[in-house]
Amino acid sequence: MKTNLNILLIEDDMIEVMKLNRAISSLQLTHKITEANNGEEALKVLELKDRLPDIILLDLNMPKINGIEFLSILKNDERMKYIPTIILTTSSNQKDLLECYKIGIAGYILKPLKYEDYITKIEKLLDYWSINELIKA
Amino acid sequence: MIKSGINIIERALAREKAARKQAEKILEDKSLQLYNLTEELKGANGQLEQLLEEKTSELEGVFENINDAYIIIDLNGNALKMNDIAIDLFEYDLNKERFNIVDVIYKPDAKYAFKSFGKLQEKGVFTDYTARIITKTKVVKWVHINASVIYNKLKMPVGAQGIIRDITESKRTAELIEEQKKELDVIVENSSLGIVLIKDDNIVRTNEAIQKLLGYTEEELSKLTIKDISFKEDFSESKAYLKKMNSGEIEDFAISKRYKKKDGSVLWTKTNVNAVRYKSGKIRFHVALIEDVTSERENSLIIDMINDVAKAILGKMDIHELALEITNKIAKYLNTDRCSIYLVDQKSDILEQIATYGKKTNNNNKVTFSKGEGVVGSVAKTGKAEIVNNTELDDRYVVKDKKGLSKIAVPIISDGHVIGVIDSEYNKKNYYSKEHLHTLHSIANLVVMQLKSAINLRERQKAESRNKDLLNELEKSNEELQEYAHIVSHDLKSPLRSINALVSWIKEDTKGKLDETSLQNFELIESTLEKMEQLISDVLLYSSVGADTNEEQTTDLNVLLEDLKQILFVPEHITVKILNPLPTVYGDKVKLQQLFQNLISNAVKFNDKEKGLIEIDVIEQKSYYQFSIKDNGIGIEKEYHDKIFKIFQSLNVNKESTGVGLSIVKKIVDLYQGSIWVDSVPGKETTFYFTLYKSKTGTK
Repeated sequence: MKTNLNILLIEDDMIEVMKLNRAISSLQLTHKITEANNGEEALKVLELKDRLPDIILLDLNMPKINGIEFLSILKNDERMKYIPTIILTTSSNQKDLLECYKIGIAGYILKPLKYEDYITKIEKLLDYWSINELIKA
Repeated sequence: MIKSGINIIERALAREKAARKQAEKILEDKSLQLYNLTEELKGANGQLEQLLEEKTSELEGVFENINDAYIIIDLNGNALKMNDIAIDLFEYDLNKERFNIVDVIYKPDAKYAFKSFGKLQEKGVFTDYTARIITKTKVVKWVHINASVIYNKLKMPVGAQGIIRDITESKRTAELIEEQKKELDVIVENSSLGIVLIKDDNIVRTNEAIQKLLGYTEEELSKLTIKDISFKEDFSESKAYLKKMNSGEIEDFAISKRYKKKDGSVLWTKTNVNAVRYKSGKIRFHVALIEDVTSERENSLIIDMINDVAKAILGKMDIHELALEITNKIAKYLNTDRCSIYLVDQKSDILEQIATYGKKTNNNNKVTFSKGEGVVGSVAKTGKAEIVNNTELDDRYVVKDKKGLSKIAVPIISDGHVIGVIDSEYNKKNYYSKEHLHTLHSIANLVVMQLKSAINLRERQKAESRNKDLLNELEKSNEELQEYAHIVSHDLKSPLRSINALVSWIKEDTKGKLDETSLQNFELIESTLEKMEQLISDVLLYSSVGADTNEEQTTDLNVLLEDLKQILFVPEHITVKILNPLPTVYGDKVKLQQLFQNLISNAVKFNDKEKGLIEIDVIEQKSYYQFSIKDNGIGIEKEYHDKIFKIFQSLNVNKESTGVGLSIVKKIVDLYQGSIWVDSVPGKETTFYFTLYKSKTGTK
């Protein structure tokens, strides 16, 4: 039984947002996506909502609060630290990878060049999280 | 010794004189009595002769008790009576022969004798007649005679009596003493030792030596006290000794003592002081024997100082500390407060003061001369030591610190190069001597080695700290660069991804509406994007080599190559062979893999033969392994053998080649301090060789 996921996408690149939306629709999935253009906005979204997202897809290279800073804030928050956060980034920097796993992430996915590859990766990612038991707050 | 000898003789003489006076008195009385009686008797009758005889024998008893010769003579000098001692003295025996006093008069003294005799007759007495006599056996003797005239009752002179003492011996002694005294005076006067006779601090007598040493005349000295020519600082030591001497504890003492010369300079001496005492033990004089040790002292001072310097600088490697020690020692030796050491900077030819007496030179009070400037700079230029007796007359003299009137500057020379200058100044003209110059030369020679190694050390430390700074900076900028490369690559890749997505969407959205050409063009866009992305990845990879290397890691190349075969795409017609078992080497596994991967994939990429063959081999050398990767591909022209390792120098327009691959290979080999080169027969084969050290290379 697949769950419909409540996804928070934190991404500053407009086309990347479009890509995820298009991927989900072309895969005919029914997950709900909330968008935030940067870490600050994401924090506002999280504060306002009485219901937290099931998973967070996080880009690392962002203006203002960058991905790693956002992750640290998130993991230091008593309420939000349980949200599985998956990094979705271009950075294959070993340093970033280690740092993210250290702080605590649920996945680290590199954005591929080809859109088809992207769709494959997103499909697998969402499939996986759909079959996971999630904390329903 | 002589003094006390004289004293004894004097005392004995006085004693005997008194005794004789007494005896003379007795004799005189008795003989007068006797004579009167005799005369009476003579005038009366011969019977009385008997009485005279008796009286004579009575007198004889008195004679026997006299130690001196005694004689009675008549007015013509004929002896009437003489005692045994007189007989011994004159060698005439009255009992056997006649004896007249004239017989024994020594010819040269005759005049004096007759004169004295006349005086006796005239005055009735003479004392202290001292003259020579000649005895019967012709022996000349010195005698001392006291005589008096004998009168009868009518006060008429009838004869004379005398007491004669043989003073030959004592006369000789006196002569001897006189002679000795003269000799002693000669010794005293000609002694190289200064001799001063002091009574209650007043200078009583001095000899020529001390007059010369101090530069005073005898008269000038006789008006001075010993304190006038001594230094206050030395008083306490002398005082302690003098106290002991006064109490009789010691008879003499020796001290090192300075005296003030007339010209104000210092005489360094070793002084021996002896006491001359009264009988009571009270001190009558002090005799000081003064030895000039000024030059001796200077010599030993030089040796001491050189020793001191040698000891002080031993083990000191800090150039400022070292120089400070040297200046302190030299200043002490030269008795000045002005001594500095300069070092010559061989590059800029600037002399920099590194130490000056009493303080370390720091950057705030640094004194510098350029070569040729001032006396110091001039000495540095010529390499010849100099004494400037009057700086006011020397045009070169430059006041940088304080003005001095005399100056000495000695170069420190190593291998013919002046590496430094020792410099000292004094506030009076004509202060420095040749001897000072020699001493400073000795010191310069002594310190040159130590100074040289200290300079080297300083240079090395400077270089090391500079290296350290550079290294830190490099590390930092490397890190920054790394970060930067990641950011740039992200920022470059993102638009590529977006273009790719957009192209896909257009293709999707216009499915079946586009013609063949348009579709082909879209495919070209996509492959161009791919190449572009590959390029960005490669550049990032290239910039990452050298960062984050795990130097402790060992990698088994056999395992690595097996893994690589799985990953690499090798077409069916190409065979990859490993000819010999590969070693395990030090190095980061990821980088080593990159190295082999790039070389093998190049060999695959550029193979145009029907049956491709790639051979991997290794030769073990003493300290390193030499690897080779040989292919039977297209080959590389000789002129490109160096060029191919440079970034973006791809020789072939190839879909998969970005021109970065071999640069990465070269960078990795460089990282492990190996070398890489290529051998090729164009159109036939290519062999890449590279070496890796067996031991750790200490890369970071």
